[in-house]
Amino acid sequence: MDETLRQSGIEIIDDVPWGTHFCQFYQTRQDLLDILLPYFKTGLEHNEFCMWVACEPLSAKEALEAFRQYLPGLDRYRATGQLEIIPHTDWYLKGGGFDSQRVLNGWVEKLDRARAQGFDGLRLTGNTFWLEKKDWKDFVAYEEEVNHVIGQYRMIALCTYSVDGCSAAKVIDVVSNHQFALSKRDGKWALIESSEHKRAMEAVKASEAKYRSLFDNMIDGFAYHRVVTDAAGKPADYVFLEVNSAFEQLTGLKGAEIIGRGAREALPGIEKDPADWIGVYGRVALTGKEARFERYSAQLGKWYSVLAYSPKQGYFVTVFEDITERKRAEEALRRSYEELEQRVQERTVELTRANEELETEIAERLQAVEDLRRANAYNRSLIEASLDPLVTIDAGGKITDVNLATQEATGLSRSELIGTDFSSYFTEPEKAQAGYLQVFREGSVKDYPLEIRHRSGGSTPVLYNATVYRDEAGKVLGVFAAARDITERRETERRITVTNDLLKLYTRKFSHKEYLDVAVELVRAWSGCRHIGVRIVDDKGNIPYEACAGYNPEFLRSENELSLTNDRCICIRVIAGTPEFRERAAMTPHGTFFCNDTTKFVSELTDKQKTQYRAVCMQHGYTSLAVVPIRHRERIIGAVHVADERPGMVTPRNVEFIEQLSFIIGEAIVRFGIEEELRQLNRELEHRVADRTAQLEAANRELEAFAYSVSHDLRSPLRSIDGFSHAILEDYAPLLDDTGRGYFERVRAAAGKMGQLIDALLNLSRLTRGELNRASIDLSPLATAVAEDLKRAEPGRRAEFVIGKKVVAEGDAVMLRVVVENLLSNAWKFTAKREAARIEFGTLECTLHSRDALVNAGVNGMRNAESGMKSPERCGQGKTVYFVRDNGAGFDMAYAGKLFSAFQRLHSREEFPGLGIGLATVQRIIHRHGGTLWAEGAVGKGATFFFTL
Amino acid sequence: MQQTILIIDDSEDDVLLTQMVLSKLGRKISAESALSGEEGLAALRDGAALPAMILLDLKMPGMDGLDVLRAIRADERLCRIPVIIVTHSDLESDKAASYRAGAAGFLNKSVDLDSFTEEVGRTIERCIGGKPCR
Repeated sequence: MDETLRQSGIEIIDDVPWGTHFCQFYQTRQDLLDILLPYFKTGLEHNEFCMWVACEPLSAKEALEAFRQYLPGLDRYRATGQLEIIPHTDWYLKGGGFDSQRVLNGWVEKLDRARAQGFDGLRLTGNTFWLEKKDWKDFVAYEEEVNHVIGQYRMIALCTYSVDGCSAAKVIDVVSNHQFALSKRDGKWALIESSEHKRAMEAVKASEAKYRSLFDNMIDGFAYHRVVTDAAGKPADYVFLEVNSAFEQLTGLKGAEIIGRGAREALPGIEKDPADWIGVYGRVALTGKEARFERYSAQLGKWYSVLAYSPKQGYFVTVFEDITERKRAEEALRRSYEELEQRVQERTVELTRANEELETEIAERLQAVEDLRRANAYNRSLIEASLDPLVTIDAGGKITDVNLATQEATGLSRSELIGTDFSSYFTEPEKAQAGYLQVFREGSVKDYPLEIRHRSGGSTPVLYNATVYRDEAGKVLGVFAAARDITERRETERRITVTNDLLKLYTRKFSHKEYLDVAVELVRAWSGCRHIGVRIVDDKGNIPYEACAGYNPEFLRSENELSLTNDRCICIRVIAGTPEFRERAAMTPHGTFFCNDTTKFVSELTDKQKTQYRAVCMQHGYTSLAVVPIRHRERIIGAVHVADERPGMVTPRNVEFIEQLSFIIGEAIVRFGIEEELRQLNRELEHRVADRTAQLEAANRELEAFAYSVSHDLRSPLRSIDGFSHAILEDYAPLLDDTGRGYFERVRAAAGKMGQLIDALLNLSRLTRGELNRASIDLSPLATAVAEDLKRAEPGRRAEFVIGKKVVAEGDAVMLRVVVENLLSNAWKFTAKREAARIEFGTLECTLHSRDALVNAGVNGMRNAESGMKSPERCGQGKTVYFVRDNGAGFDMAYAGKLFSAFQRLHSREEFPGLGIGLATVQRIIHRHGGTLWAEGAVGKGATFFFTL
Repeated sequence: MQQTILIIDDSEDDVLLTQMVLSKLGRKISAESALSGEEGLAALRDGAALPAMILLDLKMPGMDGLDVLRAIRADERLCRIPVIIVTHSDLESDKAASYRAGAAGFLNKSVDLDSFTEEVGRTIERCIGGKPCR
């Protein structure tokens, strides 16, 4: 039922939906009454709040009078506040003038209040006779607004306009702002409808008709009601609002006669019916809780099965069927059953009485026995229910009782066990005996470890708790012993040990191969499987066994040939991650294939499937088989292969654990792989360094040997030159004139010079051989001593030595002495022509600051020179820089590169005598110390030699 | 009594200079010479009289000084003759090898002639006088 569709009460309109806004053109008071009285009567009867805003020519008072005459029960509605008739001055013009917004809000407020009071909506009318010309425009706007928004509200509005007050233009205004209009034509009311409204109404009607037919064709009766409550809010009656044809058939009531009427009226006496229809339905309508029941209606003389529910507060729907026939049949059945029951009961009473006496007697006798049995059974069931093997032993160590768990642990029955030696069921009978003797002696033992032997050969590790038990007099009767199976605990401990051992292997410096060998042995010892192998994918795509134990050599030979790409077998597919469909069923989520009966597995394959297996494992009799992939990150890098001749050796739990281990193994393999690669690289690098060093050393040795041998060989002829010149001068002098003797003197002098040169060369060569003994040396006293020697040799010179205090160096004492001597002698020699020579020896810290100091000292302004192309900027932060500075002849930086080469001279020998080998020697020594030597200078401006060590 | 000193040196110049030095020592010494190790050793083995002392050069083609020295030390008849190594080398290693092979002295002939003359004089005084060197 479309509840937005309301009866209009107006003959030519029939039903309209909520939100209808229409108008009436009238001429007389009677015109108004013709339409408005049935309009409001219908509204009142359908629980709508009705509001009549009256105006001339029909005042509020007149309207009320006319309505009272038309509807005798009208005051009842007024009393409940369902009807208000008020003058237009109290509504439209309230507050002095027309305000469209206030009026609109007023309607909405009225509607809200009406809804709050339980009314379905608001039905209203307003007369516009009061409208003056000045208000017309506002009112048209108001009507337009009403027309626009009324669709949202549960409101029906009828506006009445006097035909005489409307010009043609006004008529158009009015009609266009309403959905339709009523107007009298030829003494009859007619409808003026806009085409749009018409179409909408037709659509509504069509759907209504469709719905209606569905509704009427229902087999179940259907009725829609509104509950009427009394002053206390209790349900007092209900009004029929809608019924379908099935309702009429099932009740015999006619819809036309009862709709709009109360149940008390339609079904007299209903309020007294013990079924309490009004109360039941009232509760449904008021609480919203649906009810289902079967009930007899006294008024209709029928049984009904009813479903009542409330679509909204205060309303309810009943859907029901007539079950009178069924009820009658049930009633007949019930009666005949009752009769039968009656007869059985009578018979039973007789029998019972006879039995009772007998039973009393038996019961009394049994009671005593029963009490005892019950207590025993309870205790017994406790013992049997125990998962722990329980046993009682007598003083002689014989078993007196066992429970089920003991039978399971030994594989022997109760009768086989009782009366036999307790200790004979353990792997260590003496220890078992010692145990129960201890109990007899001390009263109890706790956590006594033993292993129960099973007849099949297996054993169960247990911990025993046992105590003695006594009779009432306190005499010891025997021992009660309870064992706790610790297989699980021990297995967990073993797993932890295996895991820890594997992890520990990491830290030891094993090679990859050593690691896998130990890992294989660990898994083998833990799993009890005879054949364990670790296969790793190599760079050729083969999967050889990197480590294994227990396989025979032929098996390994054939397996090690396998390549990931060419061969077909389960190991390969596990590692490649491409199992066959058939295998997936035997695989774990980790990707492990395992099978506890390979023969059975293969026998279930089709011939075609068999070609996918090499069956090498099977040929070697491996019945239990598992291939656990070894992963590193997500990549499969190999597999652990587990095999055994006995079936059932790879349980899912064991497989799961090997899977866990495989992660550790995978990680280790990769780690060892990387380490080995690094070691290999290091070895190669070291090799290359060593080779290169050896080459360089050999080259150096050769060079030195060459230098030595050259200088050595030079001495021999030189000795002849010097020796024979000497002999001539000594023995043959009188045979020569002065010039001849002079020439021989020159030969001798030249030979002497050459001897010195050769000695210097030999010294230079010697310096680069031999050990370098580093120590911390204070160079200051050394430099001072050298300075003293120099000054003593030429006492006539004016020279100042400025020697820094505590100039400490790390190096070879002998060699550093040579450095200081050479540099100071050099400075001494080249300042010979200065009026006042100044020679400094000291240190600088090579920092940014010290470089500034160098610049300030005027030395960095000159270009620096050193044969090794090093410069102070590159000497390294924080390193000590030693320097010897003089104000001597200096040198041209353009030739700075030649400074440190042996026998190179920048000045003529006549100007500054010397061998030209001192600085070369200094440079060799500095280089041997891993240091740097460089010089700065300018012609006539002195020179500074810097070095680091 | 005139004593004989044998000089074994491949350099004729050096033999000559050494003889000159010996003549200047003012002792009754006659100097004989051999210009190679082999020749020197043959002269020692074939000669009826043994020299009082041998001045032996190290660096020689064929048998070098050390070879000759070892051969002398291995020879029953010759082993008691003091052998002085006279060489241009001042290497510690040559010095050590010479003493290990049984040299009685090690002289550097590269020093100037006057110093050399003094050294030779001191060595002869130390070694000659019939005292066996081993």
